[in-house]
Amino acid sequence: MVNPHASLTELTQERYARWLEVGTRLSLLAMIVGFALYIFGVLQPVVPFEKLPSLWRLSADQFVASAGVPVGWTWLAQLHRADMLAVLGVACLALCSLPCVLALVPLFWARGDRIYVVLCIAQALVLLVSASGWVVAH
Amino acid sequence: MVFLRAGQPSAKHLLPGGVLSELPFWAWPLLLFLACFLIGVIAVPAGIGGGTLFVPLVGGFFPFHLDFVRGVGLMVALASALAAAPMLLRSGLANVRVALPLAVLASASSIAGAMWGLALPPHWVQIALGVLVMSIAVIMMVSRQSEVPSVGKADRLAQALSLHGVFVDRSNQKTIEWKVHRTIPGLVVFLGIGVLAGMFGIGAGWANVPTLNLLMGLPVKMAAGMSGLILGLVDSSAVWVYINHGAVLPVLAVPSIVGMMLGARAGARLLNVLKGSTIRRMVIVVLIFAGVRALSKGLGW
Repeated sequence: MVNPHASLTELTQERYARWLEVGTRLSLLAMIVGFALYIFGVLQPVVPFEKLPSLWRLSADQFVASAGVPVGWTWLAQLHRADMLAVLGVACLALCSLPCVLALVPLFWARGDRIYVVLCIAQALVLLVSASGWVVAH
Repeated sequence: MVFLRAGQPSAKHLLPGGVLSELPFWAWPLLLFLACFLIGVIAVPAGIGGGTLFVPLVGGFFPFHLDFVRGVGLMVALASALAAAPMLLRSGLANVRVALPLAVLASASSIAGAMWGLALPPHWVQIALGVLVMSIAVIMMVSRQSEVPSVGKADRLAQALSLHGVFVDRSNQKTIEWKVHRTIPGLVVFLGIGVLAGMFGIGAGWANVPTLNLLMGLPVKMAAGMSGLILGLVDSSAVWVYINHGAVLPVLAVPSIVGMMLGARAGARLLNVLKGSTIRRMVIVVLIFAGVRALSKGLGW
């Protein structure tokens, strides 16, 4: 059986793989560098280490209320704090599929594969809605 | 190191089982790193995601609240899935065309699952987790995989989405033609898988592989590869619910992710030494043990 989409498949697979590879490596690097700055005390954290044992047994809501940890995207304003830098790496990891999916749109569009253009945009929207915190807030 | 400086006064932790243990607080992330390394070692050869073992074991035996454990469980599963996906895509073991329709639905439902997980009382979630983990152990005991399932005719939706192709099995250099059937039932099952993945933070490789292989008719090697690609998209959506809730503690997340990734590398080598079936049996025992622990914790025994 000849796959009529063979060349398009190869293109999409390779583009997705390449973008994901770069995104994952950069995210893991950011996470480890942020964590190293955190544990070596280079920058002050939002939550001091010695307070963690009394906080990590609380639920997420109680933890936020007790520790004053930023919720939603407000952590971006506190990137001078070591623990928020480590969160940046985690956030990058959770976002690195988004450019990969969007990068496929021009490939599917050029081949007239409208269903997959819609599917890529739908997947990107789901990721964006989730990342925006809108569903948590409502 | 700040850990060591600040860790001089030891903190008291109520360990599961009511044993009061005095450990310096920095010992917990180190123990977590070691636990994740060991989980990574056995999870890969057993063919399940690390998150499946991580959440019940760490939730049952470490002093962290289940909200953080589930969030980190998703991050661990996400990091492993994203790291493996490029290789799987290039080898043809994962396919973007098949992954996208399933991932869109599972991603959307995983957000709902994560929100329910954070809203429900923790002991309910513990009880449900215990039941789920023991069910996974039973699925692992009874399920049989089909190397290359026989798919008579692709359904209309699969034809419309062009869900067919070929891949080369590198172990024997055989070219295998594949196509998909029962696409709509598959989509419905993935909707449910997304809810479970988000709610319990356990990834969903245990459910993805049998659904793709036995229900939708993908060759088992492709089903395993596809599972990783889909997990990368589904867990990305679910994990944002935890990040936006402030349920991310780097001191738990980073040692877990690094430990699991290093363990998974060692586990891949272990495949050459130990029989896959031996490790699989070992994991079933650990899952039953972790499931009983989660149940007893949820029931307050």
